[in-house]
Amino acid sequence: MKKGKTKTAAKKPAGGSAWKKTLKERVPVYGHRNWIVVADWAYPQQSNPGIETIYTGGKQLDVLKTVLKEIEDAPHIQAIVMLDAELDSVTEADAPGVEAYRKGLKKLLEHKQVKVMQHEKIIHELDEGAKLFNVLLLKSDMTIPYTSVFLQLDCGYWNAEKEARLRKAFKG
Amino acid sequence: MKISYRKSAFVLLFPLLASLLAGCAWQKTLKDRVAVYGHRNWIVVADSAYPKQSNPGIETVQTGSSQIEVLKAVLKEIEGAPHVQAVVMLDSELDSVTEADAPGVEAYRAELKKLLAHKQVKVMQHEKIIRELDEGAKLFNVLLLKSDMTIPYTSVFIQLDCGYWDAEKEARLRKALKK
Repeated sequence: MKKGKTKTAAKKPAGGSAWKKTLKERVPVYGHRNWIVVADWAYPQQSNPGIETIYTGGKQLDVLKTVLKEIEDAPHIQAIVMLDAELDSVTEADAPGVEAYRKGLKKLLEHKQVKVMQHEKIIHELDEGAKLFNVLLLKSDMTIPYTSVFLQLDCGYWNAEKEARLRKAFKG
Repeated sequence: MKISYRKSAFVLLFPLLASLLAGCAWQKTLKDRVAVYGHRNWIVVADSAYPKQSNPGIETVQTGSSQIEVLKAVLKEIEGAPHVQAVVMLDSELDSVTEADAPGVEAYRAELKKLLAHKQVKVMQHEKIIRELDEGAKLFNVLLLKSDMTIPYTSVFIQLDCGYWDAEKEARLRKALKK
């Protein structure tokens, strides 16, 4: 992060609803190890061709709600949610609106499997994953840092316990 | 006779129309990219001999417009975007290019100075900037807009930074995280 003044002026380009169509198309072909990221606006566009970046123009929680619903409705996948550990330390004074966001996020992720990791560590995992598996990155109009929500997809009809039993049977 | 008149009009107007469309094209690309770009992406306004780099993360667009015109459009687009701000980098060699060797350089320097007043500007050796750009492009996209400029070392490199977070806020956050 370079030294500089933060901006307050806002001019929002139109995002449209094309991203919803893209999301609907990606979910059936995505499987475990693919990622869907709902990112704040200043998240960079990565040059890795496996990462598809779309500016939605929508609100962070609205975009997240749509993504979670799409995943919930898909029988073949489930979401492992990852959040930046830094988010809890962003103050309302430095980023007005962060408290309301945290509250809204907590409500939205109730009963969900959530991991909290340092931003750079999540980015590293995402970069590693994107070398082999596609990532859909949906940018919202959010202007608070460390608010991105990283959804690592997992198999919807298999879990760690079943896998452990299988491996045990394999050995036996 | 009438057909031939139409043909001549078409031949005369076609280049004008093509150049107008090309003008619109780079401006649309710029608008589209700024919306999806964030901190660590770059936008470069380059002189006409700047090479097209083979890294697929670097998108090179020929604007056909003047260097100052393109730079003005880029700065305006960034200023209008709440999510990014520009860290401008200039070649340190530019100050040593003489008017005798490159007619027009003095006027360019004067215009550039005016345009970049009140902006955060870093001056670095050309090769060092290129190295930083190459490093960045390994992970993050770069939009390179080529102008019709024919004076060397006039390229303007803009590294994007977050528009709603800065070094002071980040320092406070890191301090709080350590507690």
